[in-house]
Amino acid sequence: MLFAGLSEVAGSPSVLIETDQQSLSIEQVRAILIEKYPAMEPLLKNSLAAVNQEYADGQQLVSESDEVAFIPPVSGG
Amino acid sequence: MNMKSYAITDKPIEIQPLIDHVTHPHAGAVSTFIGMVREFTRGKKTLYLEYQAYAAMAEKKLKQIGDEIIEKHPEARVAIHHRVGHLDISDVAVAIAVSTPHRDAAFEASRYAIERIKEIVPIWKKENWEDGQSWIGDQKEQVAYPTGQPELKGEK
Repeated sequence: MLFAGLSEVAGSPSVLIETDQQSLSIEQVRAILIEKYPAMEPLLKNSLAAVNQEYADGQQLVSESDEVAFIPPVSGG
Repeated sequence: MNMKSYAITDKPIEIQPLIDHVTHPHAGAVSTFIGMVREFTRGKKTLYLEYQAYAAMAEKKLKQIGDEIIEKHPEARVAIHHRVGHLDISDVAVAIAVSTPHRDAAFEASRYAIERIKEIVPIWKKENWEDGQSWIGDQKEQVAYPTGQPELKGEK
């Protein structure tokens, strides 16, 4: 799932990644997105990842059933 | 009342229900904080704002903030509602109500809550200026997450 400036680059709030691996690390997902959408690179590198609605580090492995989101710097309040 | 303590909503936020929600016999003080849409930011004129949230996660993070407050002030009660969608000047974007037995903790906790919202809650603001629009990043103007992620007190 993508938000704010990231979803505008993708033109969609979510993107599907195809892979033949059972699981990918967050860093691998990030790299695939950058390859697919080079314009995302600066903001995506500055974004945190969340897996199943909890902040996660780049080494965390995710598979098809996980909800993965990239969180640009937040600006609520 | 059956209101959620921590909510992301696309409806206008009313303050009194939040105050009622945290009111109870042991409360001697209720502190409220209201964040609203400001017309001028550093001389630039805002026409309106659009807020977007990762709603399910944002509600969890609001609850985490409430839990952090209650951990420090066990008798506190907390309610936080944040609005999303199109907001005009002077619309309420966020409202926080904290009750505690004594005033010091109530003031401290409502300040803590708004500062934490700006650190960990996945909500984004898009400014629609007179001369264009942009998503606003880290408003606290820290270096972008020096530790690689926000300070996640109370987690892991």
